[in-house]
Amino acid sequence: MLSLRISRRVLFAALFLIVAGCSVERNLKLDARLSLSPAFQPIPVRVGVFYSPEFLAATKKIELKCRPNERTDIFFIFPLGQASSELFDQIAASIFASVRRLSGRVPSADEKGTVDGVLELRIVAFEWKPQCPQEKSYHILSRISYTVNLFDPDGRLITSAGISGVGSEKPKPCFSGCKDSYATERAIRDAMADFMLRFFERPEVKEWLSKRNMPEGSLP
Amino acid sequence: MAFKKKYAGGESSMKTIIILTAGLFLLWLLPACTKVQGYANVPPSSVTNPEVSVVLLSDPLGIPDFDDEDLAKCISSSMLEVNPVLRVVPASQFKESVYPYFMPSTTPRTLDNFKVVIGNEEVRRRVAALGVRYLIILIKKETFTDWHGGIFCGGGPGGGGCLGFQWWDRNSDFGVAIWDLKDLSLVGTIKSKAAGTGIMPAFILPIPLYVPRTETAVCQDLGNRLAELLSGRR
Repeated sequence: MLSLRISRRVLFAALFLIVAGCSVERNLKLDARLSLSPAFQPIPVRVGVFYSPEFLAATKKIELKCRPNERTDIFFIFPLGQASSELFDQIAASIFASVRRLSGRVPSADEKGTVDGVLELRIVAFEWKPQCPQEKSYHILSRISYTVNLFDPDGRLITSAGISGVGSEKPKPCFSGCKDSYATERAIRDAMADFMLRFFERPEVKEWLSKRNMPEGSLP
Repeated sequence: MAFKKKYAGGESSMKTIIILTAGLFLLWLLPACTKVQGYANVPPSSVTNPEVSVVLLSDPLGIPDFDDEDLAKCISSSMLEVNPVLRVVPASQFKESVYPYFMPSTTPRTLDNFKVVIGNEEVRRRVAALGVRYLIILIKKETFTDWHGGIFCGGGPGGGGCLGFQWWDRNSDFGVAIWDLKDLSLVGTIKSKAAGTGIMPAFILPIPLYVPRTETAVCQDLGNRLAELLSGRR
């Protein structure tokens, strides 16, 4: 009898929430960091890394839905700035001779002699889309794109490059060590891989590296 | 007597209907099995050592709904049935080791790109540490279904039900490329196709009598033939 009463109460509560049009929001945890250092030849330059406060606090709130006209009132909040900066810090530390976190795009007088250039990361776009069973088998697709700016120590822009990544996942039952969004973590990793393999191929970046008196054969 | 005759005539026509119906079902059941066809573009005796390690990688850009785990589930077990000493290294472990390479946007897709990536000293060192010899990369995965016939359902105050007959042709077409991480070469490609017809008569209730499992058949065939090839048996 008691269990019947409880289940009735739960049922009424659920019904009330639905009728009242309440929405559910969930703050996701993202950790895109790597378990191993990248298989990448280090670049002997000293860089400063600048993240704007807006970038570090950047989140994206997305509703869980299959089609544009649908409404589920279930929202996920993706901490993109934090997850991106954590991975970028890890990658920068493993590929550059030294890395210094800066508070502005232009290094202070004290910092100027300690960096050869400043990198800034900006989020341009983010997409997280469940692909529903009618289309193909159910999976989630995530895409992220950034702009990476490289400044010289005097604050002059050397180059601005777009990088992007994609990740997908099939939601599976998980009981321990579960990830909130594999697809997003994979997309962030893919974008950073794109940065590592394409950014240094840009002519402006090659020229900047050559001006740093890098020895022959030390370019990636 | 006349009644008996009439009754006997009814019985024989009933028998004829049953035999005809059974015959029709048998006719439908005959092609309702799943047929598999395989194609291999691999030079003979490319591989001679059965104790090899492989990594199975999907194509997240081209085939996002079929990830590395799905590919492993699809062909690992049938590969190990044929060659139990074959070692399948998890794709996640391989990708972590060779990051930033073999991510969706950085997976080499041409022989030249592949040679550049695997020629990288650090990548070679890490691949050697994992002991991986071959990369099996999914290059094609398609499944199409065509429905035919029709089932009509209806109901009224006295009850309801369905009547009709539907069948569907399902075709699956998978392909993998085999890359040699030691010789820096494309060993070849293996493809497998399966076709089957499913049938579903409806008499009151629609009941599927045969469901063609073409994807399972293709996975089994690909796994068997890959394992044979990687064991030097083909």
